Amino acid sequence: MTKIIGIDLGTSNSAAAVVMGGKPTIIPAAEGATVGGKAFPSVVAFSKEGELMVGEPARRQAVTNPDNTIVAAKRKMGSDETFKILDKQYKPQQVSAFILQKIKKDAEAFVGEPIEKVVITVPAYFDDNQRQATKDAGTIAGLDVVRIINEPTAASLAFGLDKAKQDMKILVFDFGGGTLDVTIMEMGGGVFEVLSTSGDTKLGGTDMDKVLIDYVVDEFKKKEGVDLTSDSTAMTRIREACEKAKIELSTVMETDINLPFIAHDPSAGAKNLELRITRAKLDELIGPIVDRCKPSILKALEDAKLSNSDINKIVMVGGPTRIPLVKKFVSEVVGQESESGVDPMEAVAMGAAIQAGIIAGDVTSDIVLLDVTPLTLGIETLGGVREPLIERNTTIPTSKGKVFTTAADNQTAVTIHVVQGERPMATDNVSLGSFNLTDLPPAPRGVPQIEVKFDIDANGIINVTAKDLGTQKEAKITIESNSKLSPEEIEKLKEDAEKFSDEDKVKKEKIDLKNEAESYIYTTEKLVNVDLKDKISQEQGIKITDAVKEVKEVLDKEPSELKPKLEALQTLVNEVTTELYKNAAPPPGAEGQQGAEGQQGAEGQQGAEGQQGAEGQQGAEGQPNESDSTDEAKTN
Amino acid sequence: MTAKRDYYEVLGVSKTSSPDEIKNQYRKLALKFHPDRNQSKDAGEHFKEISEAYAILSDSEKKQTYDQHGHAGVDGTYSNDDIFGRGAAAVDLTIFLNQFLVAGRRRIYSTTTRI
Repeated sequence: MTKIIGIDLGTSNSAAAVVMGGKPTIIPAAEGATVGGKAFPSVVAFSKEGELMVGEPARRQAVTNPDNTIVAAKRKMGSDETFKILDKQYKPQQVSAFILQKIKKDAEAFVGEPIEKVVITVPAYFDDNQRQATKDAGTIAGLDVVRIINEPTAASLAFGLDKAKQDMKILVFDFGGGTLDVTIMEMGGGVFEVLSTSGDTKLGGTDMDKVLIDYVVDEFKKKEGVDLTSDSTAMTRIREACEKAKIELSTVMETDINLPFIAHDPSAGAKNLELRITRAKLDELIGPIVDRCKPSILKALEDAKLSNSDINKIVMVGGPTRIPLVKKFVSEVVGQESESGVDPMEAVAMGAAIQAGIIAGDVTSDIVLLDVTPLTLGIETLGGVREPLIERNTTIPTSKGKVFTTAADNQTAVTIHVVQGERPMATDNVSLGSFNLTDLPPAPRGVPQIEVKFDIDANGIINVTAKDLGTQKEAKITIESNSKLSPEEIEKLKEDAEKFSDEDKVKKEKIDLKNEAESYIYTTEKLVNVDLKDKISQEQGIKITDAVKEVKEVLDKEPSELKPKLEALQTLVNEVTTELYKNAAPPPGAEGQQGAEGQQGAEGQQGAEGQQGAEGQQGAEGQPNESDSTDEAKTN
Repeated sequence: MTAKRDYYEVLGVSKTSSPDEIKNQYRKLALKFHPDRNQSKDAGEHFKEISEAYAILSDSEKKQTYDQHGHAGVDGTYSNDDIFGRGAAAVDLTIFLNQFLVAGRRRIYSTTTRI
């Protein structure tokens, strides 16, 4: 059964997990654990030579390369904004695809098999454009996205997997790097049912960083009279320091921001930024942001038709929920303490892995996730009014049909403008595009009956189909949308992405080969200078030494040059050691020589594979070799 | 469009079933027919039917309306008769005529069956 992995594609940090042995396990990033734990930063960068970096390596060089480093691309998903890096424009789907490509690579190394199918999480409050963009990012990265799942729902799976039979109502407060989701769920009988969801896709930890950054910049301006905002290197350093300070202040009461040589004043020399931040100050700065979370909590409760006392558990998800002020705030609003025991940084990835496991058939418990669409789906009608079709918090998958007709004689096309949101006027909502039904047979106005079906699938993504009830034929639909990518565009971006991944593979091959060569040279030199010193002829020794030199000369060259030289050396060493072995083996019947040291064939390997290294002591230890006893000449 | 099945029939409960009984039935059926767990072609459509039924029968107000007026009572904007012509009497004629004065835009005109 091919494994499906779960991916938390976060604004600030991303992580992946997979079910192994029935349990979800985080897939470690290749670069190892970072300050954020097992997740890696959602940072993408290009070096000045155009080399792509993703994750911790990208974050590390952000300070020296701020203009070509992209953070928080998720905030632009679903929009038609692009990032400009080194004369190229990148869509947010492409940037996210780079992150997904890295995850694919790390996962394949961890799991030991090719990974094609994935489950990717999105904020529950993401609209259709944002969800589709996420799915497209997966396609561009060469992945088959079998499900888009909501983050708080995923987290609740991680929380409730071992409690699935218990009946309870939980409130998931998912406050991440860029988005807030409040989801109210009811669990019981193995069914995880979302009752309501509310949130804010523009509210997260990065907003907290921003107010702290503004404060730091202001204080510096007051003290030194210098405005750092136009200095992108300084701002990157400040941003990093602020994020770090914010995190530290969750466990200590004060911390220092210390950035030497932050600015250069031509008259006074270099200036340092030294500022003490207390927890109280941070709380004061982020207070208004935290307060903005309240309406979402109240709305979710209202939509679920529940009151505080109906909630049995609060599950906190996302880095910012570790901030004491946030914990206190949520407890006060909902009236109870939150659960500990769910790692707020790993819960979403784990939950995604569980859902992946359910779909792959790896999770055998009777569990099903019933999610909802977060925003009301509607169409624009006369006067620009939004007529609702599918109410928010309707369980998905779901569909709704509606029959339309024409307004003019011989009208052969009908346009339906689909929107998503809660406002009464269509233009105040998010446009999902204009769906054009064309090739309608001419008829007097009001006569045609066109049944249009709006379908929201289990991903929360909308599909529109239409049938001309007169002809019973499927009506043709084309979609005009600013932010959606056409299948052709996606295919092209996918090819572009493959090129980066190919370049990556080539680089890795080169490094691997060089490592292999260096290791083999070491073994060979040891063999010749130490182990076989007296056993091989001077001629053989010189031949080997020369071959080693040739390999050393091309160590940094392309594999096409290095490989043949390495192979030549390996062949040569093989010949020499084989001969030694042949000569060392005593005639049958002889006592005591054969395997006397237990070395004979115990490691049995010609050092030929290069990796075996020191084991290549084919019959070399202490074997009396009559025929070679004449070769005392030192070989080096 | 085929006629809708009775919601009680869909969920396998009766008018006198308690809310808990209705919920338990829903859960059992959801586990059985949700597309994540059931790969058969009709599972998806069946699940949607089940969800729709539960959405009405689990809400005391909507359940009451359904018990009294059937599907027509709760269908809202969805209707077989939702076409121009049928609902003409309910249409504001001024608005109807005005839309022809909006140049260059093709719009659908739809009436909403008022409940």
